[in-house]
Amino acid sequence: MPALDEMLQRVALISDLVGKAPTGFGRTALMKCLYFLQTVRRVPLGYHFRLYTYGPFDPDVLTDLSLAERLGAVGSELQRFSGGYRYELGRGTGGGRLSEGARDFLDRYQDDIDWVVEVFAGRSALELENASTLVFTDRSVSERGERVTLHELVRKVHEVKPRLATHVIEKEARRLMEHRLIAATQ
Amino acid sequence: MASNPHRTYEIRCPVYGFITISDWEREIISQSAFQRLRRIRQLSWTDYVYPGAMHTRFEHSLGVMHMATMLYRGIAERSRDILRSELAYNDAGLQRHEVLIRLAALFHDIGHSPFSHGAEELFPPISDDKPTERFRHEIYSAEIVRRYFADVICNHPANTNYEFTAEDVANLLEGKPEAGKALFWRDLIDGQMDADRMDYLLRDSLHSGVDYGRYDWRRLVQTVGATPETTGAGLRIGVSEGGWHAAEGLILARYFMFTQVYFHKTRVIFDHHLQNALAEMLPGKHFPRPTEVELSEYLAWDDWRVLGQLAAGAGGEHGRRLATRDHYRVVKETPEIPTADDLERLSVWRQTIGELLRAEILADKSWYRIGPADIPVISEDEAGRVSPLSQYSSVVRGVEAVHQIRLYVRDEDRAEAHHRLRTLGE
Repeated sequence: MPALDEMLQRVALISDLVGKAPTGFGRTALMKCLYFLQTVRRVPLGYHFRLYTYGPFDPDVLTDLSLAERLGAVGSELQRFSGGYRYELGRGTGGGRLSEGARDFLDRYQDDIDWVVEVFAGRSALELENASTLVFTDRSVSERGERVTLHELVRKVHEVKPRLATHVIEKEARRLMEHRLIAATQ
Repeated sequence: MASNPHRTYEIRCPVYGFITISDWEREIISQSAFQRLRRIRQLSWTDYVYPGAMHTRFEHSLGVMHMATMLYRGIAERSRDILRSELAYNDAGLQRHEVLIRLAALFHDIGHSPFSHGAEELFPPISDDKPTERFRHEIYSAEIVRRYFADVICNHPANTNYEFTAEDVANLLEGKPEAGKALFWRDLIDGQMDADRMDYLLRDSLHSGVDYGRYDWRRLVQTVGATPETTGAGLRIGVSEGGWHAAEGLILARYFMFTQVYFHKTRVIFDHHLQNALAEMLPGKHFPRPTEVELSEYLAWDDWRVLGQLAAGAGGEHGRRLATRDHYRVVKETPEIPTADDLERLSVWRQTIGELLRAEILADKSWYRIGPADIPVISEDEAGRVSPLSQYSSVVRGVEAVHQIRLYVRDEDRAEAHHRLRTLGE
């Protein structure tokens, strides 16, 4: 499949996801939801997420988002607030043609998109950074064939995000365990 | 092993004048897996368009280490207090991580395939059940460090004080959580203001003979520092208010270098010819995997081997085109920033050109990532407020990603392709 067509499939998925997400869905939320879709639900998006202090990140997501905006599949609105601003994403008016071209792809992963919207799309950027860093760390441990205690997992994440209180990380870890999204913890 | 582990050496550099290396780093550079970078050109076949662009990953790797060190020292000096309070660094800890960052910078490109990015499409899939996920050169870099540099990293006398392992360097290169608080420094290796792009813009510009990649790097080195994230969750590398125009200049330099050099219409088609020629040479049409068994075979691939095979007539039709500079010619291209209508027009062009179409090349890149990776700018007032660069700069807010698609045909088919396209009446 030509690189452009693969990109247009991802753009269609981004448009669909953004359209289903609640108000206030921004760029961090999009990045983390796509991370969960690829990593947890194994949707073949072809991204390569690496860990930063702000959680798993792949710049290609924002390149795709840029094309989605350009094609009118995603709308982006600047929201100003005291001390800063953010972009809020919504479905654009030009997404229809794109979705038709990627209909099979979207249909195949509709349940996964609905799942990520239900579990993660309504959460704050900070919560999503915490949750995705926990999942990334857990998977990294698991890939090495190791297991860790919950306490050790929290300590590892705290080392990456030292400004996040350990009880906040632990609470999120327990929530992820309830959803069976953490595998390496004893 | 060298007799004086604390001796330093100077290497001439066309960008910075001199680069100082330690005896330990000299030992690392002397390893054959590192010397291989002398045989991998930084910009693939770019010299077919810009004849001066014959430099290698070797000098770039040294340059990245030098630039990362300047940035690191600037941050450590200006942000000592916050590094102490937030990340529990003391002087010894800062000295220790400076050594680690230098090593990560030195090794960051050790896993490149022949002709650098030109042949990355030939990296194998990670597994059969993940056909869309391919290995990347960063994964090769980390595995090469683990398997080929463990001894020289661990057992050099200079490591007595630090006790680094190859795993420490590899984890940082891969962005693994095991890197711990050293991940804070990862923005220097792979970020929007990292030492890699700060070096390659200057170096590629110099060797290509263009000025597009120049920006005020000295000002950036003077203004870089550590700052709390705008979300408040962690610590980031940013610039003080006096440096945001220099950061803006870096973003624009990258935009110009990509549009004028890296995405040049003739330069990119040589990547296509290279991929196809190499596919004929490689068993299974992929590079060997970054595993214990196959990594030595991977390292045996460098530009010399490919050029030797090309000279011997290997690589099929595309090998011949590379050897004789007989490249495909562009007959149609979308605007750099296409609309939905432009993409529909592209479909019509494809159909019209029909069987004459030989290659479709997508050149896509974003210049600045607004969102979680936005570069923090620290205000110089008493409050020391932190705001993203995109809030300061309307230029970086406005510079849109490029997604240009070009259609290529053989030179001998060019007239017929244009004739067919004229029937569209555009």
